[in-house]
Amino acid sequence: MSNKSTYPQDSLFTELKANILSIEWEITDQTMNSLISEINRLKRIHKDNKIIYSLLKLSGEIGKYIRSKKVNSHPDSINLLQSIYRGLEKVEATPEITKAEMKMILSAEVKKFKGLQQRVIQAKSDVQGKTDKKPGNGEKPASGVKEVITVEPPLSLDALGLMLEEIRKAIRAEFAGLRKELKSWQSEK
Amino acid sequence: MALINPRKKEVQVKLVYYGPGRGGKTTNLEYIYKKFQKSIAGKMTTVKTYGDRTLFFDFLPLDIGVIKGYNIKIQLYTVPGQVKYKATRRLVLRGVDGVVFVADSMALREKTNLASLKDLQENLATFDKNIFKIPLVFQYNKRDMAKQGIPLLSIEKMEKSLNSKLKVPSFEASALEGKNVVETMKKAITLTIVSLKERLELKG
Amino acid sequence: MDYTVEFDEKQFESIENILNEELIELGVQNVLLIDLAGNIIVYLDDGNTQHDAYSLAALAAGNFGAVSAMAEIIGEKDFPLLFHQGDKTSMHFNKVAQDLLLVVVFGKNISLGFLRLKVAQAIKKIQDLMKTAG
Repeated sequence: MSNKSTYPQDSLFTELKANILSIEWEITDQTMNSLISEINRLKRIHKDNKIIYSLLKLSGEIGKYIRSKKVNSHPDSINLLQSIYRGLEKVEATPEITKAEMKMILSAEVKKFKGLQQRVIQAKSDVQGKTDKKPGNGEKPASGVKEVITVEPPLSLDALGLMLEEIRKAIRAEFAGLRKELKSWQSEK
Repeated sequence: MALINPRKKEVQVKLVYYGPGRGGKTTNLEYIYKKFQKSIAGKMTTVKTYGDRTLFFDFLPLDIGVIKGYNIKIQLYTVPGQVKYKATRRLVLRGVDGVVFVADSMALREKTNLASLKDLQENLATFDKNIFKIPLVFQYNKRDMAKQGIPLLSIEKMEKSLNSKLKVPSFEASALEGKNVVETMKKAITLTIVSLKERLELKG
Repeated sequence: MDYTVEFDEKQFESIENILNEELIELGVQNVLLIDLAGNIIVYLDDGNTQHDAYSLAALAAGNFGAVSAMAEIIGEKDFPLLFHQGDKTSMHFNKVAQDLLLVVVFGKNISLGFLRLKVAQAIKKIQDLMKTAG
């Protein structure tokens, strides 16, 4: 496969890129474990950079979701993983990038993530609705959307929800800091 | 082997034009393509060398209408005739239902015709098909070359050389001029469909 | 036996359903199930893109025949998988059974890794179907 990397040789995300390319070809426990391992390693390195850390954390959660669901994952989850990676690439490859621009990248990915979450929930309630009509189904019958969510294994949705909240808090804090800075510049003029 | 689709009421039949290199196989298909544009399900596909010789195969799908309630689609293929492409000829023969052997009437091609016929027999055998049982028609092509004074084998000689044991229908032809191209094809299709009759009748 | 695979009406329908559920609903452009003689068993498209399916089937079968012959030469039993990557559209081929080939045409919007999972799932279902038929 062609690799249009504009990276310098010593990019911090080279290994991550290799993992993303692997899953572009094949999604197995092996490729997913390798990806998640690499994400965890990068998280340790970048724990002081809130934006990069948050992007890595997002991709880690999606990675775990895909690893757990595999063929039953929502197809958009893979696209989102690639999109987040491109965001990371941009942050690293643009030395003059401003904090505001980085935050925009992060919030764009968070927005897509939320969208995906909605679609995953919707897809599940659609399936539940269909399977409920079939007789002899081993699952508990669900009376509404809320019940459908709680019946599902907690890993994917609850973990995603918690993480999302953390990210939102981080973004709010950063924006608050940024507003303060802007105010102080304006008063200096 | 012919594919019968009872759901779509469709039969796909594979007819392969075989024979020595430069014998006129592709010319046959090109003529049919020009003549039957409206019955052509798709385009004529050719995989050729730069020298305009068939490298892989030519392919032409034909709709010939409904027989016994089934829509019949004839897939016409040619093989590359050059000796070195034996392996390719074999894989194009896979699933063949009927064969048109395009023999070169030029006197100096007598041995090449025989070698190609033997090659056909061998390749068919690798698929457990018997040249004596498969629907087969001979076309003695390039009869027009006589006008240019090129020595040709007589039809009797060609029959003796190629068809004495097989005893299948044969046509003298000129693919370039379109003489007996369609007749050859029609005969081959008829023989092939008849051989499938039993299977079609079983399907109901 | 003169022929190697035959399906009845119900099986054709089941196969179409499997390929619709696993692949067309994923958003691929076309799906073809063909035999190695170049015959089309099933052809499905997404309603937007139609190709010359008969020629595709003939070429895919020939292509695969050539690939199998090459595999034999180098001592491999077969190469059951082929992938051709295009600028906008790509093709994925996978052997289903001894004489069947699944061909998928898809655009850049589909992740290949994910498609391969879906293809594997579809193939398994078709193989199970063929087993129960005997």
